[in-house]
Amino acid sequence: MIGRDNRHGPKIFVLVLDGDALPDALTALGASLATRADPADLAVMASPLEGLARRLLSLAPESEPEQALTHWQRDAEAARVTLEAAPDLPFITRECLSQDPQTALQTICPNWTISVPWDRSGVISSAPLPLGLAALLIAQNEECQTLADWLLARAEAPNEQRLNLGFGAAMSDWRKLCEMLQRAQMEEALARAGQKAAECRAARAEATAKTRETALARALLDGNPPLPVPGEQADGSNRTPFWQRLGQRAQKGES
Amino acid sequence: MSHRPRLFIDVQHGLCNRLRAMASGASIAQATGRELVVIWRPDHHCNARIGDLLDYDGPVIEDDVADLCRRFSSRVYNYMEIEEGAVYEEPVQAEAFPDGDIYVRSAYTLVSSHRDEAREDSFLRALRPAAPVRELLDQVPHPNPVAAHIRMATGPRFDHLSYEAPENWPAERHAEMLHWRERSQPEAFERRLDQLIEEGKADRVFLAADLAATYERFGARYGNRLVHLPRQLYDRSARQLQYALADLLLLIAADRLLASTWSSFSDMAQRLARPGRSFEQSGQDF
Repeated sequence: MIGRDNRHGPKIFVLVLDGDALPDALTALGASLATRADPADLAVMASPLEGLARRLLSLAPESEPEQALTHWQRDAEAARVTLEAAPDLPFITRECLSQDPQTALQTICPNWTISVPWDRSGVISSAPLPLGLAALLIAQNEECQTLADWLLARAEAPNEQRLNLGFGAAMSDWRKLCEMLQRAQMEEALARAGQKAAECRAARAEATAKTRETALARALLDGNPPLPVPGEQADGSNRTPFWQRLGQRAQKGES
Repeated sequence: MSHRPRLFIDVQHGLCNRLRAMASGASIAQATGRELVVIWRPDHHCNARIGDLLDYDGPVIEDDVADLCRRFSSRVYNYMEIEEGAVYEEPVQAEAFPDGDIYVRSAYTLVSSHRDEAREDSFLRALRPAAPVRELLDQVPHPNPVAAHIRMATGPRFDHLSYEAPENWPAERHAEMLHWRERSQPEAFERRLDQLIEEGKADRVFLAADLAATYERFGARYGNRLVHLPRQLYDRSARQLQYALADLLLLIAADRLLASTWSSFSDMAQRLARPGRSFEQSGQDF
């Protein structure tokens, strides 16, 4: 049984459970997250990620043995990109996952009420998981794959927004991951633009109801006494906007 | 797709270029049941946000999300000739992508069987200038019997300005523009204004120009008969563009317009005036 509070939960759920693919994953995520307005709406669930990323960040490359530098620098840069892009990402450790997935979910979504009857066979609750836009899974071992499959199967995200990268993700998979995140970013921005537009329209409707006419109309008409318009009250109480009036003048053939 | 298919109109170049492209996009969107989303990114041609100029109440994208809108659209039309892959005046066939978004990048009126000039005009007339623009209107008397729009600042003397640089247009289009700018010099307007004054038809003249020297010259010649919006800016800043939009409204409101040929600004000033308003174009009528 899973309850939830979507107002505070992540819209995108990313599960990263792979050490080898980590640099690519982090690079992809970092690039996608760099322009996100609200990084808190994304959760990264990873086994080696949290420890690796934070440890790498604390190390100066020159302090490492020379033969390890290239690999570590690559990882460090990937981790830096991701963490700087989204410093508040919730991270879940391998320990958390292996011990108790319910705790893991609760950590990601502290405002949800979660009760997952867990067993390793994957036969568990049929209730959907509140994974809003996407569930992206990268798993390398069987244990993680079981959890990944379980989560993905129950995600509320539409099918086209579910991506199971599974074992050994290829570059095309990462591109798909990036595309999904970017598409989600675009839709969120458009939703915000739509909301702002709706607010503007509401404010305008209220202002128009009060003044009956725009400031522009008044400004221009102050020096341009309006021609009679059919249906207009003498006191101007139903005076039409300036542009509309221009049109009405035109319909009357005046110039 | 859970939302209505969209028509993104990525407006380019200066103020009136943007307005006419926007109106075209709105007309096509309305005819095809699409949601209009305006992509308005300030740049060197128009360094103003849409909110600096208009109380626009439709969805607007002003940042790099526009690149994602373009990338994920089913079809992209690009009228900006100097850009790779652009096809100027390619017909916008919205019906070919009934469920997909369409992205159009243009500084020009669009070509489409769904376009309707009356709908475009209605869209433009429904636009509301922002408060700073409306305040500018109070600074000069209006309407005026004659208004003149003198657009001449293109050519070698102005190539150093990024928004006037020849690289903004294909060579032949730039040459055409230069041809008409040379016919929009102050002398031509003065000759015509002098005639109108002699005929008693220009007691007051409203002037909108793109150079300080033009205002000085006309001020010296016509004295108190001349009205204009005094300014210190002659660039593409947000404040200057507020002056420009106020200029446009005052040009629209005048009884007669002396216009600069090959200027989208002059074209818009006539287009939104009441039908039958006297209209004369430099190099053609005077």
